Amino acid sequence: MDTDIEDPTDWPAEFAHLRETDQLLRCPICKEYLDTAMASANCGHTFCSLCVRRCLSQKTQCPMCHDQLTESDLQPSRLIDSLVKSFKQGRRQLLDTLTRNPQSPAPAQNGHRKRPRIQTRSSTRTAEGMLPTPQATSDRLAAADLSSDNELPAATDGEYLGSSPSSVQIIDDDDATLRGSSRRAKPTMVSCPSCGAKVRESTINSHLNRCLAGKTTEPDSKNFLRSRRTVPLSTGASRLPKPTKLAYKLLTESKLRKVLKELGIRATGDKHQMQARHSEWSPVSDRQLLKRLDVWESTASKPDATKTLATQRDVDRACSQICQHASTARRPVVASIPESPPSSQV
Amino acid sequence: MSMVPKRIMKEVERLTKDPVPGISAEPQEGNIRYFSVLMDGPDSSPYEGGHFRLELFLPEEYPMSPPKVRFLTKMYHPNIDKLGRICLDILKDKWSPALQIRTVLLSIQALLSAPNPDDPLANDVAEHWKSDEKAAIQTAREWTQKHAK
Repeated sequence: MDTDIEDPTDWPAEFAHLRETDQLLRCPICKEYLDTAMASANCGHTFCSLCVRRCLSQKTQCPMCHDQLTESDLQPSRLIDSLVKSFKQGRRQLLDTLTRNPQSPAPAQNGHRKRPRIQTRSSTRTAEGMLPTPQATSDRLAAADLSSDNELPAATDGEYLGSSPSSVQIIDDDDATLRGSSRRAKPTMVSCPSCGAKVRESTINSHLNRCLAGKTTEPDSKNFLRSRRTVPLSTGASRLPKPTKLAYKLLTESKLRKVLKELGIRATGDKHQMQARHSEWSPVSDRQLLKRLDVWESTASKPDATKTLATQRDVDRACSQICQHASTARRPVVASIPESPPSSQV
Repeated sequence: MSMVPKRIMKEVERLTKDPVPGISAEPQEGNIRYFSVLMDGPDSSPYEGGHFRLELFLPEEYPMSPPKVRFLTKMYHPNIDKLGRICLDILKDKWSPALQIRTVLLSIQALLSAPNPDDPLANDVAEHWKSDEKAAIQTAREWTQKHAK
């Protein structure tokens, strides 16, 4: 599933509005569906919480319109979260139905889950229609987001925990309903994303709260339900280490190393590497997510001064080659493509 | 072997499935961060009819830092120097992670249509453009015929 790249162009060209909806529900930064959508209170542009925080740690500007933006200007956008969730749930089914019979869209059928991937692609390849530009898209997204501010969506599960007391109440009611139904049906077990323990689906939210708050003992579920009604959820979150912003330039290498060690982050490499690691950690700000930091390190940034220099040198060499060729050959272009591209470390 | 971020995979897939008209960008085999780009000169510009080659490299920090783009074809343009380097704000301080390969290439194509001699990279070309625009455009046309066919 992870290798399967989902994209707005999966939708047949004749369903341009679905393509657009798909595009609108995506984060302009990571191009994935919005994960914990956060909207700027100033300009209304919406991003994944993690994506926008990662950007703001580098530049306090909205990535879409370059307006001044700081983390305190960000507001959760729960309607978008709900929209994304339900759209994702129905996506495959709808896509199946549309690609199988594009002329007369039949009502969705169950039991046919696998998407005919190849067929989808061939039909989209012929598509001529251009998608809306990111700017226009996000403006519309922003508009949709602003109009949603007045209304809180009814949370259908515990996904909006920790947001506001009013939604906690809804969740509790819902939780109770789930509990009631699970007495009749066989309880579904799910594994906790944090500690990996098998937990009943109906209690996963409460378990997760405890897990993230660092409690190890499992209290009686009824007691916990009561305690959650009275204690605001934010107190649980405040036990986590608070993300601190560091003035890296003022820190010596050994001091930065000490800070990283105290946070439990790997403190190897030079100052530049540690700085990159810490700034990636800051928006994540959760010991439980250190694992994610490891993944990030293996995928994205390996700050390595020597590598960059090598790249620059390669480029310079290629440049001088072009200039030489340009004076002699009629078609210097083809010849001057470097044999080995800069930093081919894939 | 480092993994490739999903966003880059997505962009590559999208560029192949739904290419920008007049622009083709293909990652090089063995290095998905390095793209060979072929761009058609925009209509009703001195670069009309030309096919220009560029190289585009996505640094490790992408999308937090901009891609590095350079013309490989010789250009007569006030914002492109003889090494093919491009003077474009979104490739420097105006970069935003919400931009992508597609939008960068479209912006470069737009720069060909609208040279800006007031923010020059190639000073001699910009001077030429300011003093005698007609002659400068003629030279750009000749260079397109000569180098970008």
